[in-house]
Amino acid sequence: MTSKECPVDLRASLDTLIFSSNRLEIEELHMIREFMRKKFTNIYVDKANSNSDKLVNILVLDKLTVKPYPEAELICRLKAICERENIDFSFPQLVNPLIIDANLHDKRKIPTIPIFKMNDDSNSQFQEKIRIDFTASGSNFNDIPIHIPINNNVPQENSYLSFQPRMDNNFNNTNNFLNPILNPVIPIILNNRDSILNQPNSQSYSNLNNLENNHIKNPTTHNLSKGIDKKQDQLQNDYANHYAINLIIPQTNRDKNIDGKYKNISNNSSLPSLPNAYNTFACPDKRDNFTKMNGGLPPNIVDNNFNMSFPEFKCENFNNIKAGLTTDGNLSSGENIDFKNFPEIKDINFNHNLGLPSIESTHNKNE
Amino acid sequence: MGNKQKSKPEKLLKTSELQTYITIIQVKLNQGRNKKLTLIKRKLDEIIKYLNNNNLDIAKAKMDSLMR
Repeated sequence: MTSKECPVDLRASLDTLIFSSNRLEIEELHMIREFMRKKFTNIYVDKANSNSDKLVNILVLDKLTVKPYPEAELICRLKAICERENIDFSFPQLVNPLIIDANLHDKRKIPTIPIFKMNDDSNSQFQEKIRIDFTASGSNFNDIPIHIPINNNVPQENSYLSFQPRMDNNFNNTNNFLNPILNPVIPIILNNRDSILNQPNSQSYSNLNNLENNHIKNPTTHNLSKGIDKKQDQLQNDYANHYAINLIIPQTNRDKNIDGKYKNISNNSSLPSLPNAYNTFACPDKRDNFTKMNGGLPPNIVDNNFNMSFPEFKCENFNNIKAGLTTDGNLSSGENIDFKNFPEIKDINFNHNLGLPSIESTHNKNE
Repeated sequence: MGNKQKSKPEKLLKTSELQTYITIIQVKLNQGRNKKLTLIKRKLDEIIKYLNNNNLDIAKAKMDSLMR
């Protein structure tokens, strides 16, 4: 009666049926599952039920999987209740108030950790190189980046922040400047958003302020985005002159030679073939000052995939962050980075402007 | 020789009977809605209670179950 294996072309459909049968109260599906159990043995049904081969239709999977709501969303709703009921509840500092995308009319869909995604699908060849998944930046709420909604009602200029190091004496020739490893496009996550928004003489940040005000006008977002806890106020006073910045460099394709040494991308590069011959940044005007504030120089964390990331660090003057070149792990001098003048994302070779990113919520993302 | 089943004569509903059925269904729907609303209100009250007692974790769990 039992057959050896389920035909491959039927696997996806049958797996989907069996997967749904255990999660829905539909008798016909239960009967189908039992037929399949008799026909293809228990092992197959168990595999289909646990979706171990990942063949279940992704839409069905998404609909039938029970996911916990993101903590940020829960907290937002709890904050709304607290405001409505006049409860003086002090939320932990780590939980920041979020700005909510006005595009999402359904209140349940509050974006949590956004993914920057290029607007134009034709640029997909660049996406893998530039797209940054913020979930990689950390699991704690402190790492939630600014949520900047992009829609037609708000100005799009400077609606996110990124920078690229400029050409200067550290880049001996144009090839080095264009070298994605030596001079990558780096998105920035700003943790201490409110301090930055309060900076005078900063066009980008005032635009951010406008963005936020636009959202506060929206009644659906008002309750959730306003209200800063006492603890957070306290922390912001402590950090009055500091800015905490997370920098993440996207994965780059740096190949190794046969002898295991890193290839130089550019033939004209005068840089040594060292694994840490990449562009790096550091912030402060004075190294002593930086080490004093941060307890040391920022460690250069590079994994096997050549993902490089800096942990959060503080610096005194936001406009004095420097990008420079290092060959030995220590920062040499570099050019100041102008945060205000780079409101665009470019491709990895700096040839094409990829336009503004759109932000997609990870809440409904299919895993 | 067969298993002929006698077809039952169709029952004709009077208008008053139909009206009664409709009323009953309306009442049942209302009851269900009220039950659900009471449940939500009770859960909200619980959440407020936990927030007042500084129990953020439990409040979050309750909120999660409420949103489902």
